[in-house]
Amino acid sequence: MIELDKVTKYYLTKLGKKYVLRDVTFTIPEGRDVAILGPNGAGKSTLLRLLGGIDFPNKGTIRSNKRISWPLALASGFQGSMTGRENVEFVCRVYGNRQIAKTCDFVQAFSEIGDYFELPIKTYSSGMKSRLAFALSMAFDFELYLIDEITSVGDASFRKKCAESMAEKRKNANVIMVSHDMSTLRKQCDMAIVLQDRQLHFFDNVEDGIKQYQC
Amino acid sequence: MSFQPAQYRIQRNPFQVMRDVIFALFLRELKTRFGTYRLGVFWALAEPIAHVIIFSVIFGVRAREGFGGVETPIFIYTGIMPFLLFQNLFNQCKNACSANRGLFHYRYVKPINTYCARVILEMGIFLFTSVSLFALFWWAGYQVAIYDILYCLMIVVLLTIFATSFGMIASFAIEFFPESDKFLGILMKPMMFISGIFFTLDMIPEKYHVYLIWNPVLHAVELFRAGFIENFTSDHASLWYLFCCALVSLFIAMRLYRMHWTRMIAT
Repeated sequence: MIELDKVTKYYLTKLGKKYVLRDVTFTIPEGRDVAILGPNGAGKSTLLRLLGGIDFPNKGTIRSNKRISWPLALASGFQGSMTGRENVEFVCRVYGNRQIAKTCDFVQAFSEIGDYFELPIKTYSSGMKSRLAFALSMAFDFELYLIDEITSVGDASFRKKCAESMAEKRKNANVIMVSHDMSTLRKQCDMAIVLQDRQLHFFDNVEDGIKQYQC
Repeated sequence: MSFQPAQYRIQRNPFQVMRDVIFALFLRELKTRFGTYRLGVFWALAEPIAHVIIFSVIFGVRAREGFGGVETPIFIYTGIMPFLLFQNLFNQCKNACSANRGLFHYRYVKPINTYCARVILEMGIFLFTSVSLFALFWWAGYQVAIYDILYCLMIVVLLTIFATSFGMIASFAIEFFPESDKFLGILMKPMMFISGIFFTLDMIPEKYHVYLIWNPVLHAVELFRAGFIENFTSDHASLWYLFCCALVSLFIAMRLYRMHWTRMIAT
């Protein structure tokens, strides 16, 4: 469960304040898989960051009692000058995972990047980066995964592995997902939030949300 | 995939989280500072050694018998060490958040942790280089002895608080007005020449004191010398002034941080 209480979020630009959310009070219910829909630039990724606790509202509060993942985006949160291993070690330490060597082995095997694991992230291709990002997130068990357009990582076999691993996680965890691929959302989610006119609109099933979003 | 991380997870209180994050950032800083170069930690020593040699050559010619009752290299050493501590702390804290911005992607990493990690690293480098140079002097046959080591450590702590706070204030100033980086660059340029590294305030005519005496780093350098060199006394440096500068800048830095820390994370 995540509670948003009178949340206002804006960005200061040269053209004044650009609002993403305006005085939003909303509760994301427990045990649901949420699709977030909205036009480009409406602030879906910002909403995800707010829910993940790595961005903060200008007014209001966001409360949660869940272990929430970092937003799993295509390739962010890596320090380019550090090697894959160093990045994984860093995240382990930050999240209090004491089994650093085991986690590294797991991530290296899962991501299938081989000895690139020992090279700086800046030498990676974007595909390798996102595979590492996905593998790293699979090495931790969160109660709520925030997923930002990361479902189409790598080749067919890797995607299959991702889907299997994610399904395993989903037994004990929920997702909040941003995607422009409606079939993914239909398959993965059981409710929808449409971000429109700086407000959040709740839909009890994904189909209604998609209808609202597409009209 | 039988990998089950749940069993490795442990409950942490906020203090333990902060300790873990600072440790992780500290290791990261250590690797990026020294891991990428072939000579690694040697470069931490190279900077103060080069300064001592260059200034000793320039100023040692004039004052062959030494400054302030000690040989020139020792005199330069007691000036350059606190100054480099100040300069490095200031620059490192000024850029602490911008250099680690990508890591705020993980919710436990907060800006204060990046400052803490860098301060710990800089303190470590200071102690390491100070002791190494001290040993080098001793090995080279100079008369070295620390007169009052606790007093020196107190000055180092006060200077650390001042430099860190000043660096934090600068980082917020740059966040609000990016131009202030240019201004601070100009402001810091002459610091090396007005902080008493190769002179004491007694050597400067009395009428110019009024301009120099405002510089807290000058006070720190003079007081550090007074603690280090047995017969060195500074009539002008004031421990009270250094203490006030440290306290006031710490207060401003903490206030700015409390009010605006989220701006350091926002992209």
